[in-house]
Amino acid sequence: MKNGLLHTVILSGIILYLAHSIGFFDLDKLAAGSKNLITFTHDLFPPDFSVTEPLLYSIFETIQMALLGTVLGFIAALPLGLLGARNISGIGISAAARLILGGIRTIPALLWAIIFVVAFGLGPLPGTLGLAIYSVGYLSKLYYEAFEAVYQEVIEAVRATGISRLKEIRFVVLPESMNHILSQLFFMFEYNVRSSAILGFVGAGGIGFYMISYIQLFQYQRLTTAVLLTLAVVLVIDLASARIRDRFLTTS
Amino acid sequence: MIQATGSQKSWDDMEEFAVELCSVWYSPNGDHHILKNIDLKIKRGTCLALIGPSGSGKTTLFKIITRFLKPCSGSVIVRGSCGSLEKNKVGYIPQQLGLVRSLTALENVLIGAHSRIGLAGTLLGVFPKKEVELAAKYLNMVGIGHKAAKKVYTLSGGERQRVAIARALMQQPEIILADEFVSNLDIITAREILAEPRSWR
Repeated sequence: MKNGLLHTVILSGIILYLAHSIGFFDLDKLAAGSKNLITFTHDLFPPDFSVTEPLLYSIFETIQMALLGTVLGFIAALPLGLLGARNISGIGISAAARLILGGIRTIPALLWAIIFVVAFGLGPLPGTLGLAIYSVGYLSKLYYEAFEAVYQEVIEAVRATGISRLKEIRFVVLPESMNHILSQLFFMFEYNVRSSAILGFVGAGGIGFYMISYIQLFQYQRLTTAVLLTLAVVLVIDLASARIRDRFLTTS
Repeated sequence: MIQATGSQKSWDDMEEFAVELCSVWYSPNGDHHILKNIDLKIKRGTCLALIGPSGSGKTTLFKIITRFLKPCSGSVIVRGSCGSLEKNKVGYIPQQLGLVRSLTALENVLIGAHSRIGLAGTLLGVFPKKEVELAAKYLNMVGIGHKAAKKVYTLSGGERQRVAIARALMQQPEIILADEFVSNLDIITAREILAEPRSWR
């Protein structure tokens, strides 16, 4: 009990120190910031809906990028996930696959987008590629974990019959983990819609390009429109994908 | 030592034995032996029940016969009607059945036909009509033809057991190994299922 109290005090001290060193207790700074924040919020309203039409086009581009990026990532993630699963590929191959996938995951989607913008120029293509490769890193990890969660006995039951590895994957591993595969795919799509909105900041297409332009040109009322539209689209997609997910997934 | 032999044939007629284990020793870690000097001969066309308390090595013996585990010493021979036996001629029903729960009963039985379909069928997941009819026939035979389109996770324990049996039959095996396959059933269903092996032939 006494020890627990001591730990709490020490931990709180560390947290408070960290907050202080970042500037949380700098009252002058906080006051100035709050004032700016109020002015900025004031500038955001009312939203300027005159730009709705071009924004709708670009938000469509954002969804397009997210969808394509997710599908491309999914196509690559299935085989890579199989390679990364220890119960399917063995220790050696899976370790190598995991190392590569870990490396891919270390680089955030935004950085991938910058890399591809440098390589392919501005536009939705580098953004889509960035999302795709980021999705590969994450989906593969989620997939090899799903494949390893397949009941060992189910695999043993068919391996005893001398089944080939390809047939084992097709008829046992994939059906057994289909729920996970689909629900993680939907999750990845939702995630990509959100993160593709930001890719435009580095010139990789989509609504983010308008957002960053409005910020740089101080057209905050137009920025509000862009944010509201993004919010609406993300909400609709979240709802729709939750619906689809419920319909697809079987409880077991 | 376990022996299961018919009395009418002579011991020299070795081809009559479908499974032959000769002084098999097995230990998972090298010192404590689960199987000690097992001699087992199973005659073709016979039913043999292995009985023993839990932990006595029944499952281990099965895994030796299915080649999942390698014995430390001794020989294992599994014979088909024409010489050595391919793996797909051994039907194995593990303790927990090993069914794919998200597939239907029929689809699970079809997995038993895996050795008879080609690459295109595998990738598309399409089985020839002949195999689908055969699978339906086996499901009828074990008494759950009407549940063919039901997902396995919606079936009861006894029904799952029957699906597993149908899947093993679907392989058209020469040997069926069933590991404690009525252990988690009520006594009535268990007796029903245990009465069936004779009819599988």
